[in-house]
Amino acid sequence: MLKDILTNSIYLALTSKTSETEINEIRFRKDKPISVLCNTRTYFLSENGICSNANQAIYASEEMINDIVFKACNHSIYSVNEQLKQGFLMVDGGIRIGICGEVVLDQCIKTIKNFTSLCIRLPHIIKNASLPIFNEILNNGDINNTLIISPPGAGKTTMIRDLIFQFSNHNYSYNVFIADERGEITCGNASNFIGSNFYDAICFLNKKDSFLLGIRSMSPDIIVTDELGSIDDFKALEYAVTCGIKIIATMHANNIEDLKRKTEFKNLLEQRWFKRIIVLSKENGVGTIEGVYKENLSKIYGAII
Amino acid sequence: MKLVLIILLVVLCGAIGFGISNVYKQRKNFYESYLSFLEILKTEIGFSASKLDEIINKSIFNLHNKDFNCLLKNYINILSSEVSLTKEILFKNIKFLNENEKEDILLFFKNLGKTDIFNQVDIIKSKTESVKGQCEKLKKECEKFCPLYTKLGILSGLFLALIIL
Repeated sequence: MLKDILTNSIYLALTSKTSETEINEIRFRKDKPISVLCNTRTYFLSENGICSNANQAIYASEEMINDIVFKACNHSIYSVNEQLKQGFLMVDGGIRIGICGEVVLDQCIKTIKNFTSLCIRLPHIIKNASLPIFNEILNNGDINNTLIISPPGAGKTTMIRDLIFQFSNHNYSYNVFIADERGEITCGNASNFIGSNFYDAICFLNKKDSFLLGIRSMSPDIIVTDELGSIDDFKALEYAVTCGIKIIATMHANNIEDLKRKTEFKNLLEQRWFKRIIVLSKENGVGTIEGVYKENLSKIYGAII
Repeated sequence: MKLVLIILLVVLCGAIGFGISNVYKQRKNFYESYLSFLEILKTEIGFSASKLDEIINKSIFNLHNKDFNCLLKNYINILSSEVSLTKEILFKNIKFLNENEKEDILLFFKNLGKTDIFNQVDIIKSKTESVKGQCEKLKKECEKFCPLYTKLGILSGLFLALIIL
């Protein structure tokens, strides 16, 4: 929980004028003012709450940043080093902390030390966020392989989280396997954050091994995963699709044009694996549906407000 | 009346001698528990990367030394607060350690949990060797001084009793 990782004074300052539900991000940069992204606007954090004046802001010190990281990992940095190496930490309640600092290299990344920046992202469950696109994903009782794209922070993870809930809510008993590499979909808690009766999740394992494990042991109908990016991710996808499993995935891209430029995506485009591509943005708030596209990238319909 | 006084004197001196010898036992038992704690740490961190508070709570349950458990409880209370770990806090209610010993233990606990698994296990292994040496030393001291001070106490009591007589 946010209260457990921030000092009392910072937490009280943060919540004096806003509630946690209105906060999307808090950024700590060494020797810079603490900034807060609240309802799509960025503020500074002063002792009296959020403000627009940097001169009144509390400055983040190295000690403050180290304390937050130490508390976030329950005083056990060794237990989260695998996450640290990837530049993030997951905290109870689904809070994700992005970390910058000095990378220790020894043929590969060993750890990050001397932390200089933190980006604390708070998850928000928005029930029914995926309802406008739900019928596009269903295909006469079957599921369309679906790719959801957007720039960072536009609601992709919230959308797929809700989709998993909606399958259960609409009494579809598809077995959903969540390959949650960064713990963001299930908020690091593989047991019950999503409110669905039909999902299994593996957290903090790369997609390639996760897909293999899931397919062999959990017999899923659908695999849901977040942030496709590397060549290995696409190989894992290829394996799953050729096993007859439906895929719902997300990817960073501003729009369809950006997507076409991605080298890794070209193969998927040619194979036409994804029957539906949903484009999100922050245009009218997080989760704005800019368009729904077919596998040949023709638009089915435009912006949904 | 004189007999009662003499008996009381012998018992008192014997108790003083026993009390002094008890300090050696306390130190020996404390360090033996410290060694067991280090073994638990090495296993829990090295094998399953368990969180520190889980390991400490498990240790408090498994180790039966009152003084070392007191130290662990002081440590775990500080973890969740915003106060820095100091000697006064860590060794609250623990009186039988000297300053060097306190510094050494404090430094270990201050750095606990702050490095990656491999370094953490290395630090624990190195500390285990040093604590093993300390345990041996304290065991020998205990074998030498515990019976000595107990006997000295009783003998002093008897000597004083003779003087009174």
